[in-house]
Amino acid sequence: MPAPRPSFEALWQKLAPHVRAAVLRCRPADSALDADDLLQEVRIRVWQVWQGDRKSQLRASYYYKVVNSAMVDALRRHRGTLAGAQREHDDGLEERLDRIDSPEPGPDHRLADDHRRRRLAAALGALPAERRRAVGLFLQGFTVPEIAELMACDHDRAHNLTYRGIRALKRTMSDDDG
Amino acid sequence: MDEMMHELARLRRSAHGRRCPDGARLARLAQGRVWPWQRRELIDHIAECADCAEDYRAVRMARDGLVQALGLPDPELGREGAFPPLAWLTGAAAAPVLAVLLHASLDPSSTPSAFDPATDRLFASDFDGARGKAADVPADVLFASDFDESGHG
Repeated sequence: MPAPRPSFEALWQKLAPHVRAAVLRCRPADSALDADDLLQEVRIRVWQVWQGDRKSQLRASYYYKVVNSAMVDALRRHRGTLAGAQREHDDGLEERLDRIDSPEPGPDHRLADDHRRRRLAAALGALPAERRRAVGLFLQGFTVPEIAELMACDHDRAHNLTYRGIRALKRTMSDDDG
Repeated sequence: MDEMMHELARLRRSAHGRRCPDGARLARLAQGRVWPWQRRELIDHIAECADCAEDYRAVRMARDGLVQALGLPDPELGREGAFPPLAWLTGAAAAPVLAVLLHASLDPSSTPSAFDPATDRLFASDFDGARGKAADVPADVLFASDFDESGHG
């Protein structure tokens, strides 16, 4: 005879520490929301699924999927929206006047940056596919072991792809400068 | 209000014509439960989309803990199981495998199953009656491979 399904609290107690750790680490820096709020959103989604699963027919992998979906949805929902709206609201005349004397880069610098960024994107696009992926991930802040895992290859190959890709990028950029 | 914020965030992400993968796809990538061509597509996107790179980090960070908490098989082992080296393939053994791969390539929604169905249950030690049952769950939130009725119905 099947045992009764675990209570929601028992399930959530197992899941919550891992969701909390990920949300705390990856919550957008300018998010207007507390990590607990994000955690609560995930909790509600898991509860809704658990509530509908009265016969305990859902598999663990389904709960795994629900937790991840809810976590990413919560992070996305609040990324650059609430915090952005808050910034826009605060960005009054006084702040704009202060910015005149600030050491922030002016329009000419921004234009040059934009031009450099476009050149970099073009150089990146010219790389062979595997190198482009490895360098793209590296530029997004992934480490070589993380790149190796993502690309399902060994560490040495990930290292080579990244290193050679970056070297090619540097060469292209310096050729353009020259 | 919440709906509006969600829509704004969605529009912001798709401003450059990108279609960001949802959390479930990122989770499958973190588990190694994607076909190689799906992996390439996802990596191409993550390499260009800072938001999805962050989302992937969150999913990856939670992965091991959640897998352990839910009693799922180790994703690292699963990945090995999902894509065995092709060196052992010889003659007749290659045919059915190629047929399966061909079928999978024609079905874009398919995913390699890295899980052992016998243990892929919610707290399998707590109850034996767990069965995947797609009919009770909205179709838009399902993995086809999660509810493979034929294997263990």
